[in-house]
Amino acid sequence: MADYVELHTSSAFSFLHGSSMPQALAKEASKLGYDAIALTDRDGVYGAPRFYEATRKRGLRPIVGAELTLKNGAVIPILVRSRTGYQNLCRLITQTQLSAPKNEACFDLATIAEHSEGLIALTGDAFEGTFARRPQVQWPKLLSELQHAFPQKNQLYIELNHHRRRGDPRRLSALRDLAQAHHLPILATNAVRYATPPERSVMDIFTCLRHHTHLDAAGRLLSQNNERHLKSPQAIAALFHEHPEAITNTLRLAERLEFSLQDLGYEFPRYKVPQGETMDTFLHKLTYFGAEQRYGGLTPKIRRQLKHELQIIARLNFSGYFLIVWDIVNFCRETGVMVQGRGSAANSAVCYSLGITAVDPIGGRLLFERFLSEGRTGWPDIDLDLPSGKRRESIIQEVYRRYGQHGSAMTANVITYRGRSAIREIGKALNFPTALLNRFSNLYPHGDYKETIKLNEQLQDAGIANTHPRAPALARLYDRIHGLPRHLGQHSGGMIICEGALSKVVPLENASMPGRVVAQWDKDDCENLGIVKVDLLGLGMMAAMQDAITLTAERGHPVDLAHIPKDDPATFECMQKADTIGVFQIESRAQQATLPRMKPACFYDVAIEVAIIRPGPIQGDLVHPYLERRQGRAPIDYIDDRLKPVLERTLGVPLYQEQMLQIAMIMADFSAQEADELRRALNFTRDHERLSRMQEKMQTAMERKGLEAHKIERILKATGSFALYGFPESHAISFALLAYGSTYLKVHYPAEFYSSLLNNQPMGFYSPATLIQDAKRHGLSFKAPCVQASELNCTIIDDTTIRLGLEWIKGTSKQKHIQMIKERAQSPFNDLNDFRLRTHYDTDELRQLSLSGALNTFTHDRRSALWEVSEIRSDDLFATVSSSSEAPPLESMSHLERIHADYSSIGLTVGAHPMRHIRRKHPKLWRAADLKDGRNGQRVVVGGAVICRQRPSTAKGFLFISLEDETGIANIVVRPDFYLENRIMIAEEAFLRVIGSLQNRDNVIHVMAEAISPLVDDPLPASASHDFR
Amino acid sequence: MYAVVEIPLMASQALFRLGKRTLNPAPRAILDETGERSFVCETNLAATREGVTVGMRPAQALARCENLEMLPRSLEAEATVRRLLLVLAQNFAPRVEETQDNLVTVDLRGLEPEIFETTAEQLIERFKNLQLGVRIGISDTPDHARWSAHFADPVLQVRSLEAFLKRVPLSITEAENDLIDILHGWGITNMAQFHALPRDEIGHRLGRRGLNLWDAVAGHNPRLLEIASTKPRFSRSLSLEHRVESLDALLFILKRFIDELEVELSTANAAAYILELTFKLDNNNLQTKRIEVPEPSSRASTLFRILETALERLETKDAITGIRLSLCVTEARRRQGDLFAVAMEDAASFAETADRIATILGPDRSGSPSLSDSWKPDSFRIKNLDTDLGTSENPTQDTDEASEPKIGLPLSRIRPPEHISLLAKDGTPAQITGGPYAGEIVASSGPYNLSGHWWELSRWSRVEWDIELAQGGLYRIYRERSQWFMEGVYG
Repeated sequence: MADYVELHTSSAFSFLHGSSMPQALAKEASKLGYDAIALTDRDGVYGAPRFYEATRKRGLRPIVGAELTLKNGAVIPILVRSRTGYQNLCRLITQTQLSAPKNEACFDLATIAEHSEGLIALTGDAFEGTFARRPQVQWPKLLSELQHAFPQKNQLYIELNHHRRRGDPRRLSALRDLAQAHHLPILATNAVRYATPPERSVMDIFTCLRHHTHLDAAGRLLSQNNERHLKSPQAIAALFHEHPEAITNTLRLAERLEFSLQDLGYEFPRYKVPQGETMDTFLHKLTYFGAEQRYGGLTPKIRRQLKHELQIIARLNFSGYFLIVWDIVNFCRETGVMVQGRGSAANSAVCYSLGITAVDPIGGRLLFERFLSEGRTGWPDIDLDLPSGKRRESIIQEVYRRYGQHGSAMTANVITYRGRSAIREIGKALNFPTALLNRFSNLYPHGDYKETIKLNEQLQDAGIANTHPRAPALARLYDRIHGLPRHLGQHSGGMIICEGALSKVVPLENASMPGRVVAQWDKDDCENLGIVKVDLLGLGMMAAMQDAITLTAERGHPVDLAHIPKDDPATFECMQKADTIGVFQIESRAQQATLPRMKPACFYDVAIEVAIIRPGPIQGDLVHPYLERRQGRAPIDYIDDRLKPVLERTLGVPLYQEQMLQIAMIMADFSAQEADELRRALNFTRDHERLSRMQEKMQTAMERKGLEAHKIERILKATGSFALYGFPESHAISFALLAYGSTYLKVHYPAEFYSSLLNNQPMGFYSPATLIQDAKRHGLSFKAPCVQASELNCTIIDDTTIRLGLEWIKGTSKQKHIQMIKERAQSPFNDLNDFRLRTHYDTDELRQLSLSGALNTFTHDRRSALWEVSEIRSDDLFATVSSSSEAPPLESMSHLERIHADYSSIGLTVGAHPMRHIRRKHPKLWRAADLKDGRNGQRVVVGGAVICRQRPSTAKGFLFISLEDETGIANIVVRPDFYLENRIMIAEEAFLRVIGSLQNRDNVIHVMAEAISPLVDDPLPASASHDFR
Repeated sequence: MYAVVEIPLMASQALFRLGKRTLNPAPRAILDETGERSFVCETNLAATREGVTVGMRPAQALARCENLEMLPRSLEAEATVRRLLLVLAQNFAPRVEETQDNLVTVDLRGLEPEIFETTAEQLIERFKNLQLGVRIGISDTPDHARWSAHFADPVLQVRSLEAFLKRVPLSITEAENDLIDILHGWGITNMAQFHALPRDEIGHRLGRRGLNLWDAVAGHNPRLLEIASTKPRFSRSLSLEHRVESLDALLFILKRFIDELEVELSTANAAAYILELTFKLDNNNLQTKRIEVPEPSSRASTLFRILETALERLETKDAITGIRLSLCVTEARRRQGDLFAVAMEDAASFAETADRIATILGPDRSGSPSLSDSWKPDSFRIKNLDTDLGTSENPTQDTDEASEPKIGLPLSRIRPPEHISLLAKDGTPAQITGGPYAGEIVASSGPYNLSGHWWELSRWSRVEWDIELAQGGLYRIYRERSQWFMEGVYG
């Protein structure tokens, strides 16, 4: 047993006060022979869950604590003795954090005193700064304040640190005397800031960042030496040989600190059921009632499945959870918010019966065990997709309202140091000239190119040569800092709720976004510690679809998504032609390149289509085998005959997580619990070791069963690729529902579909300009905004015409539009004078309205409107705007001028594509729509506006560019070496001209680039492109 | 009549005349890196042909032109050129306005019309001597003159206003950007189009600003010049992007300085009697050289010759990264009475003397010592006296950790520390084996570890111990780079 326990350790989750990850600290502690160790992060328990996992894995006992910053600037470590203590600490941190702006919380001793039960305090650095200044006067005062806050016996320890600084022995003796005088115990710690000595350099950089200075100017703000690392018990014993009691006390105190995060005391909220019901019985009733509705009659198979699921749910005590999610879904329905459960919940017939999910798992033969099993240790995962924007926010706020500010919170999202911003911060601390750092950022505006260009080459390009005396330090520090937490954000939709106060379970703090409270742990931490999370995710497409459905009803041909035909030939034809711009999930460039090969012909094909375009399967060489087999170009095999039932519907190719679990159960005899462990390992992307352990377990089991080596290899390879990007079948089916539904709307209700898409921007893969061009190719026409006819949003004039809304006009006030529309409802405007008198637009806004053509209703053309609205109006309320009867002395706008006016006022044009304007000057350019007529291998020249640049990490450095012209989109493939040679031009130019060879295989058309140049002509306006994502 | 003298491509010219790059036809852009975002602020013709335009980010510019040479602008060099422009123009006429950074307006009223162009040519010649190209526009109003300078090659006098206005784009006027935006919105691209609009309608729409611009275009009510006044500046300095390692390169720069200072001297009717050269070296030290001029002079050729002779024997300890040339001047007609008299009465003279001492002793051996804010023991720096005069600096920052209580035995320091041989046992000093301190160590306290500057080659670390020798005495020893030193004795 070790003779020392380190009870004061800060990790990088102390945000600039520590420079090692909790995992690294645990690893080093284990190496040094510790039995237990505490983590005391600054003003929170941010790193505690990861530390808990990492220490337990290595057989260490983790102790929970935190450093608290007092109002006088001192920092004292607090250690948790019991669950009461932990709850007190969480409440104390929550109360203080919520009462101060983000990152400015300071603790006052009076509040600490109110929460000190179950907590132990060390004196930390409270006496450090006052040592030189008459300690005999100041120390007793400070100490009595601390004793008042921690009045019980052995609740306050005088902390001794020895960092091999001159003066430390004297300081230690003085502190020991102080402790003796006040009958307080002493305690040795190393006040650890990093796991190993080399990490001192990161700590110094963090010190500079904290003080907004650089290393050359930081002077004695920097550390004096590198002694604040984890030291072996022997080394600590040598340091404190004059104070052996201080070391023995660490063991005694550690024994008293009984609390573990395992004993968190978390309880999911209990659902209030009607009198005479239990949660189990009530769920039972609701489920069967719902099942009757949804299935229209219960077959024995359905009854069997429901019974099985309900039994497991009751046994695992999860009924309350299902009822609460059902309650949220009900609230959505009651308030008219579209909702759809996704994720593994779609594997459950209970979820389907409760209306949480839209997929029938029995009909779809989905594996319930992927969702819930007897062996499950954590909570099931029910994610709800909601329309993004205000509708989702209303649901989040309702959850806050129901469970209270301290009863619910968003989960955190840990933002880490990476990329250009990390280089910039390190560079500043190393005192590199700002101009050099600017140059670095400017040269790499679209990312880090880490796959192809080494950091030192990037630095060299920016003017930081390898021979620069500080270049090695910059590169070394980047490696060390990369991935360390930088600050805490909030997860996009993960909410945690609790029975009673959540603030007793995890500290809460203010998010940057008003009205939001965020927990100090991320979603993985919460899941690991058994805290249930409900994901309220926002999908732009759901908002668009909900709007489109409303519009269909308003226009007299209502559509019910639940009852649209699932075998609509026109919908599948649209998909087969890859005519999917704007629809959900299958609109991306990669999806479009697969659709003509896949040729979806039934709903399940859509689910496969959704699942196969994932980085995982590509990495595992799995996409092509499926398509090859589907097209009859490769034989179907199932790895092993026993897997035929599992893999039959994906032609022997494992595409879904459910299949992976079934493979493990069949081939490696995994129990339900082991399969659940595998599921967690596949989902838990942060921890690669976890997956490796599961893979080893599978391998051993398969070898024990005598499975051939090549089969084992194939199965393990597939498991590895799923770990990164695994896609549950149920999830694919949920997404396929949206993909199918949105394609159906696009095909049959294009006016409703496109106007709703435009009203819910930004969303999806393409810019509004591209969506409008696509809509025009589908027979729609668009009208510019008009103050006499437009509403705030886009509106449908007839089946083929959409008018843009006034909100599209840049630089204009929404409130003024609303006021104008109200005024117009009273009576239409007679003329421009009348309009100006009855509205509140200022001159700049009037110019924007004129530029967009919104005032053309009153004037001859845009230029006339510009001339008219420039006339200065008198402030006299009773004056009328003078109006010259003479025609404006200005010429009308040319076509090009109108395009520019469109882009500068509404960011797009409803007229012809800008490429059409220059087409005549470039007669050799092929139109995108004509490429299908070219020969395979034919040399072609294409040109257009760049609407997408993508370099997927799995594409081995290949770059894909989408060039849009007035007829469609041409897809360009750029070889890695060619891309690197022309990187900046490709990344920066808005219009490109590409010479290359045409590739047409299975109607998937690409141009393999051989030469690329900017298409510089009359300066043409362009929309933002979708780049490098 | 007014003449406007404009230096086109000011940033490039300011750089090239200082020899930073030779003129060549390769595409080139000057970058403004003074703000958070770098952008192209000037391009040459070759770069413009490749599609590089002002305002582009460096990456955008490189996208257009892979072989583009990009140079950062030098505000220092531009300030010098700006100064030259003003001073030289003032040599020709008393009423000069510093209209923009790269152009001045000269009031030529009162001159005979026939000598306008001759005067302009003389001006151009003077600038040419300073390796600067200028263009000059001449017209009835300051604004017209300015616009005509834009099209001059190198001189343009406006004779037909109507034809001229058709050539003048909106973008070169002084109108505010929002006004130009409005006019662009109207489809107005040149001054003739603007002039064709009814003045009243302009007034109704654009107010006073619009009317002012309309009047300026029409040549009504020419504006009054804001006459610039200048005080002579008899020094020039330059921080170098590239280190100077040869005399030729140094003389090239000094020749420019002397030429510029000649203009200042002649404007102020003064003559130099001392040339003071200060070099900033690569090691951050300064080296100063004072050269007395036997006969005060304002002629560039004379002063340069004296400099050239004096510098033949110049040796610096490191490459030169900055140069300053200052002149001590007297009125041109007066002569120095006593060449050997050195005033010691004021701070400036004291600084000169200090510079002399520094020249003799070496730059790192004179000046004012100042404690560095560092954990490195005895860390200090030498500050040059001339920058210290009149200022006092707190020698240390009193941090809590630095302020150890002044208790315990005093330490008598051994200067410099003496090298000792030491035997250690179990990592603890056990015996000093030779020299005046030889003996067994009977007690020790330590180690106390110090280290720093890990981010570059000058990284250091040091381990200190306090020891008691068997023969008596308490000492402080330390180890640095594997060697032991005796630092002092306690008591």
